[in-house]
Amino acid sequence: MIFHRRKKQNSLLRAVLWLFMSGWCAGVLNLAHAGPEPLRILCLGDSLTEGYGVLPEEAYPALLAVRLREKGYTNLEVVNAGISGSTTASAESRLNWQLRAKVKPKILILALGANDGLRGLPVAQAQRNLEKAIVLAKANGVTVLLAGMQLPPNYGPSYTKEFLAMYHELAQKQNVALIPFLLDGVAGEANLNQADGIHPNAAGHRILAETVLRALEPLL
Amino acid sequence: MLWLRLAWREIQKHRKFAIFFVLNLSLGITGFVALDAYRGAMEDLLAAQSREILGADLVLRALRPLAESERSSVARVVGANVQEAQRIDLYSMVASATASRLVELRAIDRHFPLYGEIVLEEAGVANASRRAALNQEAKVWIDTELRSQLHVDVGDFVQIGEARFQVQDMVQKDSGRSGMGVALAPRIYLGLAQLEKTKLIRKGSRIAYQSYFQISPSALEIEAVAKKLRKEIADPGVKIQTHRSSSRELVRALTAVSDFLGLVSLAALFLAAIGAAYSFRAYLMSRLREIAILMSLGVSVANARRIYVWQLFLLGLAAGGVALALSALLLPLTPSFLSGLLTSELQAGLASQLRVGVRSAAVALGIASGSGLLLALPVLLRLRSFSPAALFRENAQPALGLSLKSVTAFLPALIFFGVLAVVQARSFVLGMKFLALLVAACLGLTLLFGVFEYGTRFFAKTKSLILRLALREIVRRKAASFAGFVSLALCTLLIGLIPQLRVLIETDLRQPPGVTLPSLFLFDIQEEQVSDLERYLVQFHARPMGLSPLIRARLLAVDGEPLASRTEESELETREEEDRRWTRERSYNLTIREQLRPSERMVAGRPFQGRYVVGQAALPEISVEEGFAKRMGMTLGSVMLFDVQGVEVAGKIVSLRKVRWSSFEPNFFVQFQAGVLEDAPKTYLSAVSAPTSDVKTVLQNGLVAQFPNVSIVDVSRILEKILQIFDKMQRVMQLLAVLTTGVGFLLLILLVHYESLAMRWELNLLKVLGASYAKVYALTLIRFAWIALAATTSGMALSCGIAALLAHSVFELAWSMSWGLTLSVIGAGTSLSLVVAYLASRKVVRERALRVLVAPVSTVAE
Repeated sequence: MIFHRRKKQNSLLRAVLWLFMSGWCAGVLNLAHAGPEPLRILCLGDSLTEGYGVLPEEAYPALLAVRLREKGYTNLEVVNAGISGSTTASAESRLNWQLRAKVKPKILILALGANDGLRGLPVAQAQRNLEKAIVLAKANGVTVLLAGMQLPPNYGPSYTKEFLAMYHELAQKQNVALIPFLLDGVAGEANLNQADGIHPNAAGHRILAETVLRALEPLL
Repeated sequence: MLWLRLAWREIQKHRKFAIFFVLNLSLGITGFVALDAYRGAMEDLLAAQSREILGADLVLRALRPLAESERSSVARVVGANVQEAQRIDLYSMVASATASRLVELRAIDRHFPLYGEIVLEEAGVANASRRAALNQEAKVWIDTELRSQLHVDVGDFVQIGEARFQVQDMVQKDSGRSGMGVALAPRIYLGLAQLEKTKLIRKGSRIAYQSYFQISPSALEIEAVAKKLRKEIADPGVKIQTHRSSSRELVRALTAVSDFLGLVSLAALFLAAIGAAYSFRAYLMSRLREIAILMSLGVSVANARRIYVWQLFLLGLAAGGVALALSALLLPLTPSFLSGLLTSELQAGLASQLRVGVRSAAVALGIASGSGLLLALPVLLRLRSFSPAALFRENAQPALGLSLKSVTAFLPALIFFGVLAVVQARSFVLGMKFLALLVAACLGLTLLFGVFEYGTRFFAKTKSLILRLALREIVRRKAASFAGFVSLALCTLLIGLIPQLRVLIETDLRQPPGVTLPSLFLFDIQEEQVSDLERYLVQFHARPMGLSPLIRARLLAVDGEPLASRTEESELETREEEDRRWTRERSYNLTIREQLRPSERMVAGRPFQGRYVVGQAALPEISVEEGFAKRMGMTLGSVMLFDVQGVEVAGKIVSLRKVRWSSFEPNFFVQFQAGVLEDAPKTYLSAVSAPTSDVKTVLQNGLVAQFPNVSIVDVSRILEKILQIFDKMQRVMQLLAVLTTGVGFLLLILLVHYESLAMRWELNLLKVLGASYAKVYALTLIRFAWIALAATTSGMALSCGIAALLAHSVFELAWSMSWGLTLSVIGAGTSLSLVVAYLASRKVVRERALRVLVAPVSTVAE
């Protein structure tokens, strides 16, 4: 067996336990605790999500899983589908790959667009790409949390404003939840970023996890 | 000072010989000095080129302004009187009246660049006054491609941040363009003093601050300053670069060429040393009769030695002085003689750079004076066992016996040359390797001499009197034959080795067959765009090269051991620790490749076994780059576990590849067998070769419009610059290989000349016994032909062996015998020896034979 999920959830013991628990606890536990399948949260993003320059367990998706478990959401899985350097152009095809998985995601944290902005790509095109991914997610019953990005001020007032507005417009149009700025409290802070000044360090990722957690909890 | 006076008197008494000796030795030393001067000049020229690329000797780069403490550290380390320039780089969206696009803003002060130049279309070279004016006005210089991309021309305005700037000129050339990596967008140059008006520098802005320094012409000094700065400035976010480390390809090539120049220099040193050793040995042999007389008159061995030590020292010093004077006079004239090998730019550069350096002069004087004494030490030590009775023998020579004492007598010389080799190669490892190689070669040649002696004895049983006499003479004068054989063979070894090394390095630098140099690199091509892109490129007669899928994955474990747990994070990470941590934790770009590209070669294992079928028992197959496997501690059979977008994929390493990263083809550390990752989310990357530069510009603009998400990097300029440097390096190596061969042959003439004159006594004796001139010539030529043929063949055989070894172990290239070179060196060496032997023995043959019976005979003409 060469293709296997990182967390093997389908063991016999787990199934027996679930049968027992489902009969006893039905209607008591919330959705995260209810099913045999874990609640799959998919973080589809770029290097910020992938955790460029930090250990996998230091990246915000892993920290988010820890924080959710601390809050009692034990039957869940947070998938880090971040790819460094990726743009919104890849969003739809990557989501398709995840939707083909045996355990489909229930929540999508869509954290793409930063590289489009840094490369000066047309905002309208990035918006179209993100919209396609959101539409695809919704069509498959996936709840979307859109993570907004802001560009550094050196990109010029006109472009940065247009870029920021894109996330708000999209969230409103598609009626999805929005994190106004994923790097809120982290961007521009030397002690929370790596030497390149753009990727959060381990401490920065802890703040990111809290930011995401605040926006995610109402969706659970 | 008595011994000095006696030595001086001896020299005066044999004035004619002293002049002959000094001239001979000085020729060898001149060869060394000339080669060393060429090496220095070539290094300076190549360094100047890499300085132009960086625009400085040393650059400090950070994404923040340097802190006050860091600035004072810099001032302390680099010194107060160095020239400094400042540059700030940032990306920004810039708009004209009709279009907007991302550009790289380059804000420069009036001193930038410290080396190289910016050439403008209308104004020409942007000199200091133009750069100063740029800092005073709201004007910009823009890259030519922005003319079509922003629809602007000279005199039009562009909006940068909150300020408007007028386009003053277009940038035609920037010598620093091929510097740090590649630019993602065209550039706009503005004055550093004008940057504030744009209001783009705010909290959160991503800005690169750069300080440029002009420190010293010496690369070693610059590297030393960089090393000190790296210690002083702890923050790894402050990058310190020297002109040598500005480009990976350049560093690799410069290191290879620098090592080659070091080897040439060492070869020159040892050629000079062989010449010196031979000259001194011949001199001492010619003085044995005088030494015997002195000893029979009651002079102690120690005192006899002192006279000759002083003589050797004085004569060597004189030879060194003559060599330096000759070099100083002749060196400036040499570039015009070598014009066929040089471009006009190189010729002009060399004419201004060629000079006898202080280090070179010191080493030359060291060899001339010191090496003679040390190399003569074994002979001087043997004087103790030399009997004054030798006075009564016609042709006395100390016996050639290999005792522990006689071997240890060579040790001081070995240590002396070891130190010189390290100084000359400027590398302990390289110097020691070269010395070890020569010692091994000497041992090999001693064994080969044994075979040669056996063969000579065998053939000496012939019925032909002349042949028998000639061959027996070789065996009878074993010490002289051995010295001649080893010296000639070593000389041939170096003559043969240098051109072979040049070819090896050139092959290593050259593009592998089948690789075309790209003009553009395209990244982030989406899977659904691939066919459209290929169709689009065909319209421009451009073709994608090495179009490869790129699948991002994180390495989780190797052989079952989780990777993250291997890393122990500490608060005080060094740069090296940081690099190692990064290597282990970074995400990797995987690809699917069924066949090797021309720029890669399998060095271990086997090719993939067809396409993988999901569900089959065996793990998918992986091919890994050799260096990467080594860094990660993996071998054939290791199992790598990747996380591909939430899906774990394991694979087994079945082959290791050597990749020529300098080929500019898309290459990967890890390649998967087909059938495994096809469904994984992926992007594509490709190099594109455009037929002309105009097509490239049109193509680039079209790609931006049609495939806006695809990142395009123009690599043609950086490649052009690097290839120019490679070409220059190849010419440098060709030139030095020719010069070394020339010096080698010069030494060969010197050796044969000595050897021929050393036969004086035997030749005259033959004449007394009634041999005709023809027979005497025949005997001389047979003897030399036999020794020269054996020595040059042995030398070439060893040089081929060493070249094959280096090709296999250092360059990892297939070595093939160059019969042309081998036969021409053996042929030229043997023929040259014969001609010199003939010319030198002609004088001896023509002198009156009776002289041998009435005057004491020296083995060297006086």
